Amino acid sequence: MSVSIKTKKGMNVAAYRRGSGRGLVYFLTVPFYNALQYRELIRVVLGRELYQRFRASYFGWIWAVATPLLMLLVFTAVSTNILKIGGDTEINFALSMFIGLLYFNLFAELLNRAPLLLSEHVNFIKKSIFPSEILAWTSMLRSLTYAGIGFVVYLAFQLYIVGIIPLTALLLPFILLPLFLFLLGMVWFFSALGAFTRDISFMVAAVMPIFIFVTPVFYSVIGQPLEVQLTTYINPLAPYVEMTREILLLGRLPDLMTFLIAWGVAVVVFYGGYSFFMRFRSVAVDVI
Amino acid sequence: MSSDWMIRCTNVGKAYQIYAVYDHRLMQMLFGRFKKFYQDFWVLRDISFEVKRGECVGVMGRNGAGKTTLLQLICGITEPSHGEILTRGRIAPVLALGSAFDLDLTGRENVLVGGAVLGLKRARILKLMNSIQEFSGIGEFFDRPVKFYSSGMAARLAFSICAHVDADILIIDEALAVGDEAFQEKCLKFIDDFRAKGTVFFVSHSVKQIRALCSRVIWIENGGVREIGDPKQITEKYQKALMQEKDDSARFHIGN
Repeated sequence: MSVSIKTKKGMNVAAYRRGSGRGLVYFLTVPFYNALQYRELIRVVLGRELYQRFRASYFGWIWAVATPLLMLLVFTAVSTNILKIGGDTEINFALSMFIGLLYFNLFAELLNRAPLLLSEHVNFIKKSIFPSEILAWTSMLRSLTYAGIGFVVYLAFQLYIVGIIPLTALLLPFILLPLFLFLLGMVWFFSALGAFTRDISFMVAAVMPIFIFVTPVFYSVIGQPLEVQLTTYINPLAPYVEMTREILLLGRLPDLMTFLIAWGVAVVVFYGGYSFFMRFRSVAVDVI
Repeated sequence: MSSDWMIRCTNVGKAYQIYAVYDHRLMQMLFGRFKKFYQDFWVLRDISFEVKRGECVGVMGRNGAGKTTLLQLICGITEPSHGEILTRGRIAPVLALGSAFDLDLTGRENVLVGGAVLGLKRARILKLMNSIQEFSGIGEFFDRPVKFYSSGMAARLAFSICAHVDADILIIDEALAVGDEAFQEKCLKFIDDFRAKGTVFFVSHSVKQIRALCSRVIWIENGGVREIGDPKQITEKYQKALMQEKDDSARFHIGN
């Protein structure tokens, strides 16, 4: 009982004792340990957000399924009837466009919200002892729920139209995992930055539409000239879109180099974002 | 110094950063190590005190004296600019009651959120739910969205949640001002009982409440401790000082 803690947090003594032995292992595990420790809180805050999204409307979850389905149908109709690409490729074109859009939407939704994340929860942060770093988790899990529904709709659609989902689709978790890490890191980074100036939020909103064209949503990187390939790969989303297309649509293993680069970038962004957020967290409280 | 303290503040000071231009915040964040873009605004300076187990300490002071900042520092919501604050055990803050409620959720659902924020496990909250409902005394409104509550009802609900947290230190910020007499009575009784197992830190403008509850009073003025001591003596002096000083807007000023 005679454990004294600095008033970082009145509630979690253990976390702070852990913090005294700072090493590489601590650095690598602390973001996950932290999320695990607050899992109950993450669940409640997430539940509250999903409630606002789904239960406040008449059809609730139906919208979440109808939106991607409608989009898939429109894509298919456009690529078969208007673009007239011909043969097998047209349905592939529609499906691959949908995969691109799915990732873009996930990315855009998260990043558009990130700069305002802290001021959105200002009452929690200023009026109670609230670990604001969990907001990145809840905000990501919320967006993942929508993206997940989109994914399921997509897979069902592919199964129905094409009749097959290749075995390589089982590799999907290995591609999604680095994506989650990458997104979490980005949200931490932009939410800390966004607390200091509203311009970050406007900047993200201004830059985001560019991403839809830089990300290979409407085209594929493969088969493009080298310069296009290079510029696209600077975009952090592109590798995920390409790799997912390969394993889901073409039944091929993803390019190993692309895979490793994606993981590398994700890990750096994740730990960088977390450290950045934790460093500026206490200062951010005073300015939001 | 004794060793059975629950809260210990040593030379605590807090300066907020006042920016002339809004975007200097970003500049400070990026280039802060080269140049200072803000003006310091000292809310608290050099505060030192100790609170022991079983004590109920009242905090008095005029608006803007730094009472809420002191509570936020003790809770660890914001960090002191200098000095050290040590606390023992779990803190339950009853700061600005009900402001964190989600208006679209029902009282019951808000209890789940609020309880989780205060660190209660879901199973524990569900177990306490009936007791919380009863303590709040808002009847059928418990299952209505909070947007239909009166401010008194919201305060009742908020206090009821905090009353059910197994805390060692209870921090109360002018929370009881909104409730009606009957509810205030209930809360005061709760706080009194709470002292048997924990420590209470209590901000109020009500001399009556402070005298009834507190074993010690800290009088804060212009960010510093003006006096610490017996509730009766201090409240008398405080009231006398108020009468003399009147309400003068020159009290609020930024800078040194």
